[in-house]
Amino acid sequence: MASDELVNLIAANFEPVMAALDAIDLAEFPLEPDLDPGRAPRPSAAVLATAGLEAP
Amino acid sequence: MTSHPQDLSLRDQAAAVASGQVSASELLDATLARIEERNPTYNALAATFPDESRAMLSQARPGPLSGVPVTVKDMFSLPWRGYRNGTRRALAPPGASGVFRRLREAGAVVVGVDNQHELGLGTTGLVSVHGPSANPSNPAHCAGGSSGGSAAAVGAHMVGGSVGSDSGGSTRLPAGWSGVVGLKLTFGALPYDGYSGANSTLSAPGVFGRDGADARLMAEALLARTMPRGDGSTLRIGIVRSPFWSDIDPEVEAACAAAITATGCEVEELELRYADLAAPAGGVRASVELTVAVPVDVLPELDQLTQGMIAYAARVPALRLARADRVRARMRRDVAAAFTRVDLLAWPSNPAPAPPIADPVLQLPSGPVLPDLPNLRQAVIANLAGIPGISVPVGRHSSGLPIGLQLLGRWGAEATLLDAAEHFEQLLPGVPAAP
Repeated sequence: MASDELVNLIAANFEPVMAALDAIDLAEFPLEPDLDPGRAPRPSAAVLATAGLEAP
Repeated sequence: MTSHPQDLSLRDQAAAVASGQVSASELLDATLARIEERNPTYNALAATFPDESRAMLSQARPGPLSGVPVTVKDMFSLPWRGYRNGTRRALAPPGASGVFRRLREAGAVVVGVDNQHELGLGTTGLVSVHGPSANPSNPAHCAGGSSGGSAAAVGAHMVGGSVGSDSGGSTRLPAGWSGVVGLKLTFGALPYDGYSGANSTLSAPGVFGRDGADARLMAEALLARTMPRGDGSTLRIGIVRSPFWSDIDPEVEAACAAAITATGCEVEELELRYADLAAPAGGVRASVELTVAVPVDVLPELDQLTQGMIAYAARVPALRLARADRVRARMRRDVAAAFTRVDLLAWPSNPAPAPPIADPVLQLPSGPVLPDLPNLRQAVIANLAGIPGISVPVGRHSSGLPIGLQLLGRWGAEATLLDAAEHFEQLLPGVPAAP
């Protein structure tokens, strides 16, 4: 397996960017049931309708 | 006078076969010979299988690609070969994947499997059991990734069309670097069985062509619907300055801006307030999703860097993943709102031209940087939202390397992106196609 040194190097490259997520204010990112966050990579028909769009 | 049928466009190959001007058998033989001649330079293909390709040709159906050779990324299973995802061995059983079935229904002949960045975990195409894929404009430079072989196979005129995949830019990024058109399809727009991307909520197949019309033909085959060309001159283009036009190579920025101006399209400046969180949100999700299905016994066979990426992914805190999903939900809604005002979002496909294989570092205004994070920043918002996106060649850097402009469209709006691509091509004659 990869050495700890290599994994730490990768982490040193990525962590400064990824850690931005740790600082977000969750109030600005409310859970939205119609979006099914993390599992439905396109909005529901209801959300699309708010933008005047139709589901593909 | 064109001397080799692979110097014809994909659509001209299809027309030549349909009219009897070129026999499909001769086209296949010439294509295999072209691959044998050029693949040692570009390392675009991981495998060919002449016997299976000839059998496929003998059973080719009438269709838009009848008898025309194409390649597919190593993420799609074929009846004689399970996908390997750029590793040493099959990670899925052989079988007719959804992409294979769509190609077969269009009459196409799969002539090879494209090289790719191992497990799709990188944007350079450097890490592969087959070695790096090389750029069609300069083989000393990266083709890009993860679908670098698919881009290079088309750009180096080994085939006229190929199928890649895009989980964080893996079609659009190599298209930009390799000077071809690369179209990421809408998430879920075609069957995902036999596709390694079925493990990811970010992944969608993508198509490559040397121009917009060839990409359209490939997309029509995969989506199993016709998309007649529309007017690309009346589209409204949205410009999101931050972060997508920040810290970009000055020549890349200038070429992309000039191309947008040249279209004469209506342009509107927009803000996507949380867009700078796309890279961390997409990066967190991608690192987990792209490695979750890798069998444990395969791990020791992977490149050390891939092993390191997997080990890093295993350390991603669950709390951070939940936060990434909250960002994703917000971003998807913000993107939907942007598309009430414009038809397209536009920014450079890559922040800088393809770096040298021997020294894969991007030279940005802020300084030298490894490519994955700045590339991810440009691309992954489309994967988070599930929308389609395209990279269109818009010029060449003073280094001679191609420059690509990225356009994103509404869910299901592949035709609009292709209309825009063809409109750009009309206004920018002579841009790429290498070699």
